[in-house]
Amino acid sequence: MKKTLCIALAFVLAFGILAGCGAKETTSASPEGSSGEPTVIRLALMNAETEIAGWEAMVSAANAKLAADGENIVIEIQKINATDWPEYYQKVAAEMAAGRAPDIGRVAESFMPTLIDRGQIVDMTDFVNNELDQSQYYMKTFENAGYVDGRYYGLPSGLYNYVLYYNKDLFDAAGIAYPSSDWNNPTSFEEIEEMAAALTKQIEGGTQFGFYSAPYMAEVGMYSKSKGGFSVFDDNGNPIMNSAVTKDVYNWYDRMLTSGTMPTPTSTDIMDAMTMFTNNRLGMIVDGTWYLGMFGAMTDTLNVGIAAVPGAKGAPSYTSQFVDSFVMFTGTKQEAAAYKALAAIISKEGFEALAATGVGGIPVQREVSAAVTDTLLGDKFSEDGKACAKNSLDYTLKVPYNAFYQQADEKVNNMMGEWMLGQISADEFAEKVQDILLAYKAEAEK
Amino acid sequence: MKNKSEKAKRILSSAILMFASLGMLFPFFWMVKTALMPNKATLTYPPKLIEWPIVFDNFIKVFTSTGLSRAVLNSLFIAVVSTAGVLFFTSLAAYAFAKIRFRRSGFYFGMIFATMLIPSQILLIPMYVLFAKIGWVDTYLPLIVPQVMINGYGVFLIRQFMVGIPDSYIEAAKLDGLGHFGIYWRIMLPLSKPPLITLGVFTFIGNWNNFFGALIYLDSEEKFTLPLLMNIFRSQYTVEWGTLMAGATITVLPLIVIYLFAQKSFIEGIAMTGVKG
Repeated sequence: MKKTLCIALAFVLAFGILAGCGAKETTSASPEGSSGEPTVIRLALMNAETEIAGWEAMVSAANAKLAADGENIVIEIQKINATDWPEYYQKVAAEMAAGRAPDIGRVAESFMPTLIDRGQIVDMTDFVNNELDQSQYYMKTFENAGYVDGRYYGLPSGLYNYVLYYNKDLFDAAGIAYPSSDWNNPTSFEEIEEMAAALTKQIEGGTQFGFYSAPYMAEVGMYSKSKGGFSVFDDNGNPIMNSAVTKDVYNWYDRMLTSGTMPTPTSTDIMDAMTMFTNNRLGMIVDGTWYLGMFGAMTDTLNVGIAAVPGAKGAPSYTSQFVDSFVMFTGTKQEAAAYKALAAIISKEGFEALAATGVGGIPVQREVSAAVTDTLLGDKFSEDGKACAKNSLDYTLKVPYNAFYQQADEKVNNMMGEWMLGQISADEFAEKVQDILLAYKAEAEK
Repeated sequence: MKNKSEKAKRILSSAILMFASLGMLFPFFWMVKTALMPNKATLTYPPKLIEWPIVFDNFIKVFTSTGLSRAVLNSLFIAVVSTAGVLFFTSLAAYAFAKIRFRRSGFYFGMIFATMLIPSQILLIPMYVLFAKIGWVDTYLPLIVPQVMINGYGVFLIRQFMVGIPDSYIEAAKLDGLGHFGIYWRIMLPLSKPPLITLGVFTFIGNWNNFFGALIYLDSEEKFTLPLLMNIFRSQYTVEWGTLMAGATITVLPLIVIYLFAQKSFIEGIAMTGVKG
């Protein structure tokens, strides 16, 4: 009986301790403007060890600016240790349902259509048009997936886009000229094929491949646009993935896959393309500017050049842009203070602090962007390469995210192996992609 | 001749088992090996079985750059309290369903069992709203209480075992003057050690590794659990494999220790209840 009593008491104690770990009241639930105490604006951020210091620096600078401007507002970060954006979204969605959502947050561009569709973020058009000094920003970057029917739902937190990275040592060893860094006169698709063939050879432990570009819709779309077509959808929002131009792009990939100059999924299952590139086993790779920092830190083992992504001969080439945004969640009771907080975050001071840490991509604030691109790229890349990375901002192309793009993209990616492993032709694959998009579009229109 | 063939069979089966064991251990070896390499070198090709020099930078980083010790304590607290609670309440319910005759016991058992059929995703938002309303969000209560109070899997597992315990033990105990709780505590629990250990190990592992629940319900950094904390070594675009593996090594260590201590009863429990993890 004594033992029973002990166990019962242990449980009471345990739950007592638990009850002691009571929840903190979230500040967003209380209305703004109470006297004396600062208004606390909660900012939800995805927490990653490599990036969080940058966002913390940005928020510190924003808080300092708010204080300097005499505003009694403090921004607090709510770190969400999610693995990916869907997990981040699930957490925020649950908080919204319970009426305890953060006031503001940073959201991936791909999630913007969902948030807008469900009315979960605030329309910030009046703020952008009337409060924001637009001359300070690359306003084109505001026209991303958070810009719908002329309404702004997000403020860009930075920009990433695709460039062509190439291994200078492998090019030198093969005795071929580097790809073009001129976005108005990029290396053509045909020239890339030739370069890839010249770079491909058998080396110790396998094959040295010439070229890799993941045939995701965002990449196929930008190549189609460079060839005079459309990126995934036409101007009326109709899928266009089985057009002659897009089929041309898929067939360009197909020729390199079948000739063995581009790694197939069988090869990338063993070692992904980026690892091949960083191990000097791949000549060229089209990937995002999010890798600039990583390449800059690898100059002792890797000699990287930056070029424009492949395009049509004599025509400009386009690069898909990825712009994550700061948003205001619906239901915040502190809208006025949240706007002031957002203005401070995306101020020159905010972007300067963020950029100094090398996080967040290319700043969309003009002054900071110019200064920071030099700092970010430093002396690790040639002047030509640096100019190419900077100039890429003038050739960016919006990824046509909509309510179903993300789901369709995942489905397309899941069946990509069928084509890349030669079970179906490039044309057949293009038709399948088109069917998937049409099915999702029909579902969305119901 | 017979001896020889038996010996050959034994050698062959030992060789196969050893080979299979190596296959099972290899991922653990790779995890520790990656944790002992500089982050930059984790993806070099061709990979080497042993990478020299061995560095402890990743472990140092995990211990110094994060609130690791606090997260270990938090995870331990949740796992221990949940396991104790689950074992106590599920075995109590299991005893009732196995040995006490009462009206509609089959129906109630079916109800508890049916909770296993509801996908957790469907419950996510309603449960979050409920817990937010009663002020449990950002506490450990949503991570502990629901599974302790209703655990269909645990009740089913232990009930099935208790059903097999002869009623004569209970009759004898009643003659000795024991009530239901006494019978449960002094007779049924000691006899049900194998399924209790199996359920205990599964519950502990499940709670120790519970990432999603912690992600959804915990906001304050000082309350973060180990899996939640380890996740910061992945970013949107890159993964620090060395650091992540150092964290994973630290995460699995307690589980390995627990398994080593409980392995005899654990295997017994699995064999007797027909449960496979």
